[in-house]
Amino acid sequence: MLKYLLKMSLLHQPEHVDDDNVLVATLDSVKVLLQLLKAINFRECGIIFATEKGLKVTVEDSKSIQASAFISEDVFETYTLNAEEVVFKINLNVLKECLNSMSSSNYIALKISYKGYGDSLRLIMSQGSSITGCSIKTMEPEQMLDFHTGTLNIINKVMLRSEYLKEVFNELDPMAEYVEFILSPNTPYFRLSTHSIGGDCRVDIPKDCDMIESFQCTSLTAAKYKLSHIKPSCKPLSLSQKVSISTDERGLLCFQYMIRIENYNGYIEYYCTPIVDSYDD
Amino acid sequence: MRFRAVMNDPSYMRKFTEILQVLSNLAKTSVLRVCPDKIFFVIMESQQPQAWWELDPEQFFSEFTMRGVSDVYNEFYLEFATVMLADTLITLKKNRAPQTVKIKLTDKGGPCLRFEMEMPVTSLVRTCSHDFPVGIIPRSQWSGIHEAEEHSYDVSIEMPYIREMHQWLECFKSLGQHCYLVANENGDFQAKLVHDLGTCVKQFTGLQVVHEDGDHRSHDLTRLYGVRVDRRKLVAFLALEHSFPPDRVLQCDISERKLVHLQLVRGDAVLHFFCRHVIEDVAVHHTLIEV
Repeated sequence: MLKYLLKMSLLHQPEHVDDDNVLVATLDSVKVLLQLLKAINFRECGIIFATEKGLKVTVEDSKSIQASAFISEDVFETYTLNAEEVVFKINLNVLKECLNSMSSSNYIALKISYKGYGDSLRLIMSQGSSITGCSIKTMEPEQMLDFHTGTLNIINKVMLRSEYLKEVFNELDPMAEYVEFILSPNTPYFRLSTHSIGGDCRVDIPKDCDMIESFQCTSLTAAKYKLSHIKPSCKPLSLSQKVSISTDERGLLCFQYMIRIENYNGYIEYYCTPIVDSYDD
Repeated sequence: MRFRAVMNDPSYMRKFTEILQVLSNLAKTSVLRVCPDKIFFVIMESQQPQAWWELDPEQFFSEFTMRGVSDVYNEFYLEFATVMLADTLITLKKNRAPQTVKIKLTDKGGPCLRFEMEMPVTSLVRTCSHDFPVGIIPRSQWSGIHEAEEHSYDVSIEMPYIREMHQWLECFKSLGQHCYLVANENGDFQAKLVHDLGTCVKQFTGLQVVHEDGDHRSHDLTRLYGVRVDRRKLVAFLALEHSFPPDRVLQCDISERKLVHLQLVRGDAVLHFFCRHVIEDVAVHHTLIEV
């Protein structure tokens, strides 16, 4: 029994015994982290997952929309994880304000650390005349929906330059409650339409137009989404250079944004569930 | 009561107008207190002085005569609307400013401050007069307006990084309405926000400590003294540094859990700002952060 317990404790020995942090990272600019956070901050709180690949920040609303920002470990100057996985819930408004208070045009040396379950997320920065420190409370992480199972059964996928999709979204009727997405290998190829008391609005984008970078559609999908669920996706859209839109047979809509900030590639995923019952005029 | 003053130095006219403009940003009304050797503009908040400007009449005016309400109480207090006065006197700041401004306390169916501006127009001189209605504050209300009693402070420190502190404080909206100002006699200073959601600190070290009598107030130089103040008021005061860039470093006097006094000095005018301690639910222990 004793031998077994000894073996167990050796297996769980942290890599850096002199550091009681499960996560330690340093940054010389908060820009990437701050901009990606701002793009998905449509709810006050979010869940942070830290893995060996980097950080993932997820925000979910009404069990209908979910956005995740991926900050890979190469964004950080140094990145050390002393546990298999680190997860906690945090107030993103406070985190954003703290990072903003530390952003400046000069080089900064920001250290982020976390000791584990129950501890606060600590930020500390030393710069010239002053030291700035923040200690943000963490909370019990909530169970989040796992949409990834949907990406295995993608039926249709379109990739386009973000600025074009932004123009299309700007033209959508703001009085409408729902927007319908139709994707098909045949006409109309890619259609967005809305209905409201103001009238009907329809945008058709042919597959061979300049906007579209790639068009991979296997069969017709048509689904309606609440416009208020699509709206928060405008922020990551504005930040990105390219976006891919994909749907599966359940009508789950997935936006994947490719973002370039400074010299780093960031990535945001945005899922939106369809309206199940169709509402006819 | 009598008051007569003449300004004919353009740089002092400009300073006078600048002060009035800053006052008009701080509050809608102000109190003008005239003493034989000093003039104060006082901003009140909940019947207590929050900020005041101290001017030396000998510097600002080429002529200055006054007489208070009585021989014993040789001073008087007037209440006036800041924005109105600031807007009208804006001409004093312009290139073709008047060559002389005469200020007089008169009675035009009610107490008024008359501003007579003489402007040269080729070989002629044009006079422009403005009569501002003012309220005379009775002596019974004076004690509330007097400069705060000479406090003994636990620590007085010079804070050169006003802009940095202001920018930092402006970043936070989610961490409550209050801010701690903390300092020790070792030259360490902190601005700190403490909230259920988190704590944020901006710390400066190696600052100059001011000693009144040339010696330290306590033996323990590292002991930290803190006061909790209204964050918005502090931010509004720090913002004044833009429109009123001081000649000397901001001095910050702290009386633990009682009062903080900040002083901005520019030329011959000193802006004083007071913020009283706001009692907290849970006492906070102050420590320095280390990298």
